[in-house]
Amino acid sequence: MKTSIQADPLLEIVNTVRQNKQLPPVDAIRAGDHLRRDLGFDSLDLAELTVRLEERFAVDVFADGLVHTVAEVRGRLGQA
Amino acid sequence: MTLTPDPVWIRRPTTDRCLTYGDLLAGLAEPRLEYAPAVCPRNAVEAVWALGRAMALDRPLTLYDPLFTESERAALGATPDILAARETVAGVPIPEVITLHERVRAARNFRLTLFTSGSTGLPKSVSHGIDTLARSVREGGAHNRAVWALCYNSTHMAGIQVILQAFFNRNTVIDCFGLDPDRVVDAIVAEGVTHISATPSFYRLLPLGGTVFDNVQGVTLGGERADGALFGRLRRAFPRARIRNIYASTEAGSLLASEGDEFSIPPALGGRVRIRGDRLEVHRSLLGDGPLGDPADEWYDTGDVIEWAGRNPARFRILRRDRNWVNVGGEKVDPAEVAEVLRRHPGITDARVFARPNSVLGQILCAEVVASPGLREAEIREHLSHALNPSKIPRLIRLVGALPLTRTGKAGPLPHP
Repeated sequence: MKTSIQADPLLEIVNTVRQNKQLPPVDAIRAGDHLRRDLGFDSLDLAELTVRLEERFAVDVFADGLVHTVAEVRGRLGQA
Repeated sequence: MTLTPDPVWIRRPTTDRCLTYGDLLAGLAEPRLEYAPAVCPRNAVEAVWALGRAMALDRPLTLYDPLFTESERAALGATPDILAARETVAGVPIPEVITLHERVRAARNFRLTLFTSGSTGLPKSVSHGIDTLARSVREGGAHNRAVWALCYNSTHMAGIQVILQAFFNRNTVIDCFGLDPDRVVDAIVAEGVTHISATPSFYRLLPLGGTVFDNVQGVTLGGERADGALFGRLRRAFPRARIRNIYASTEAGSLLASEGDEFSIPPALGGRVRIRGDRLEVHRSLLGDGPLGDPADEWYDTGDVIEWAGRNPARFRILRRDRNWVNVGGEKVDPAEVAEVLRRHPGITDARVFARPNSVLGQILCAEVVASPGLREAEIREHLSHALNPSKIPRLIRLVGALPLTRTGKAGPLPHP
């Protein structure tokens, strides 16, 4: 389990944001997961997510408008 | 007994929290009332109830922000005793809301005390009478049938503006503050919202998609600078709406309004707002009562920096708060205050707090911390959460060996985990 978490940087970053707001880590993220409803992110969390993703991937996933799901984030990161 | 329908003043979607104008009048008609002069409302409906009673009874009211931390509340005097205090006052039988409007316009003892972020940490109290609070209220005509979406904290100046605009027109306010953006969009449609007032950050987060909201006639932005891309998105989603930008502050209420992002100083302000250098200044006569600047100074520096758009007539854009301030989604944060709280932790020797640009909230707060070995980020976050409300807590905290020598406030790269 540990290695699979390490293997997906997006999962790792999602869990960092969750941990900072005292939410337990998730084992996996699915393409259809909604950032707000399924992962519990509010606007401050989404802002944090964008900065951490930009640090890692040099892509601002919110630059061209809203993203709502894990699949949309991966799409903007070119991981689709 | 009147046959006039009883319009709702404020309602929270998906809950049964609701206050009608008739509820307010009925509550005032008792021979003797218990009046609460200091309130920390649990929700917007409670805030509106407290405000309505204060205005109608012509009594002073202090509204504490429920998002204040316990230590902030204690320092500002919102002790359990103060919040539990009640004054027994004579009721006022008022037959109609119209009569109440006249009464409120004439209220002289009513003063509303709100709180602004102070430049040295603790929020500062500012008190206003009805003249300042209702300065920008527009009445009659198309406003008669407006339904407002409230997307601000109801204990802040921007929220009070929406609540009073609705009050003087017997309009309904739909409380959308803190709702999930999907639910806000649902509420705009389901509740027949005609006017929305919110920060640019709030609009940026609305999942507008390709939806066109034909019912919306007014879209108001305030609290932060709005970019051209956002104006474009709003024009597509709200094609029938007048899109206005408002410049308001807790210190002076609502002052400037514009279509688009270029402001000019209206003659109605009688030369009491001016630009000095590249700073926006407000004449002391426009300010509320409170510890604002040096009382000996005739002019008050708002800390807001402008950029000229044209000289004749004079037009300008309001760029940002003075660089000491960070605007996180419309919430003003003083990085120095946050750094001070960090340094209060026994395991932290030094800290610097700064902003980075962010596509979601405009700016995001970051910190670099010099800490004793073994201090974990989670402990630092725990420490901060006791002293600061969520918008003031840095989203990125980096533990460093030493702070850079030049504290320019410019962000360095973050380490990869």
